[in-house]
Amino acid sequence: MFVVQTESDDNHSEDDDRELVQRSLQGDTQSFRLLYRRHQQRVRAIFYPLCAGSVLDDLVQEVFLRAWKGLPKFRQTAKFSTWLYRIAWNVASDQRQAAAKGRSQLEVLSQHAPLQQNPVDVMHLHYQDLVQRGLVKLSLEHRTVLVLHDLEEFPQREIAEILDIPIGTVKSRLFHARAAMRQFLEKEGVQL
Amino acid sequence: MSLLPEDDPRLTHFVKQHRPIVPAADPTLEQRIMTLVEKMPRAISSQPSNWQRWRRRGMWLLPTSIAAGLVAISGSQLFLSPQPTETELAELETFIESTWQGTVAEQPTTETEELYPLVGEGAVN
Repeated sequence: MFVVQTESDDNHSEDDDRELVQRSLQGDTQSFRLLYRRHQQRVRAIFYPLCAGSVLDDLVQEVFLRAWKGLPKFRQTAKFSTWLYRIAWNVASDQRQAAAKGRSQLEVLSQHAPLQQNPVDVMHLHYQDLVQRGLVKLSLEHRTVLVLHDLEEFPQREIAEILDIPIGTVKSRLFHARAAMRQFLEKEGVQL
Repeated sequence: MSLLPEDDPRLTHFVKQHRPIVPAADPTLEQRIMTLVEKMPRAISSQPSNWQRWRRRGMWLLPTSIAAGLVAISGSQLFLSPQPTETELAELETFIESTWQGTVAEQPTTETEELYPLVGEGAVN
């Protein structure tokens, strides 16, 4: 397991993506492989809070296969990453049922955590579990906006584009998602 | 636009700090995806995208639209040009008749007509 580096894939330029898309459209699968390497980590980071970890690889695979099939329909004037994350959102929506059955992060962590922990690590694990449980309590729509905005730091305008909703709806969902998350954490004894 | 608070920095910081840890991908995932991708190669470049098709259609539509616009404008000018009223037509007809009579008369019949060829018979008598 590793901690997601949210900025790790942001250094490449959109121009590079466009070039790789063009080559992929010519049938160059190696260029598509590079697109996968550039974006897979962020796709995983978006997916994981939305869906069960056990199906994460399958969902990532589904996203990139849909992207490959859908490349001819991709408008060259659009941003590739936005288009890709929109596919991810569609896949996540399709998996809504599975998402509702997500396991508690505490179960996952307890399987991997070493037996002896110092108090700081234990608190960190406890808080991680709380955040995960708080996210699971949110509706998929609210959770998605919170993940994209507060964790992945997407601008609201791009979130609106990815989810195909008005920017006012993004603001509204973000407000309600934060309020619900804050209420959950405070109820669990977290002082914010 | 709304009274919703834009930020909740303490909450955001907490959630970010304790965000769920994403499990690493299966080491074979990339190759699995690429194998599936390579199994469905296609001559993508020979198929124009919807966007390209739309643009091509747009280029064909452009001159057609201009021509249709010109026809519509000229047609509307034809129908919208002012039509003379019945009174105006009657006046015009009278004027043409009097002018015409004066023009085609082979020879003046009276001295008055000779001097004033445009004056009608009523005026002479």
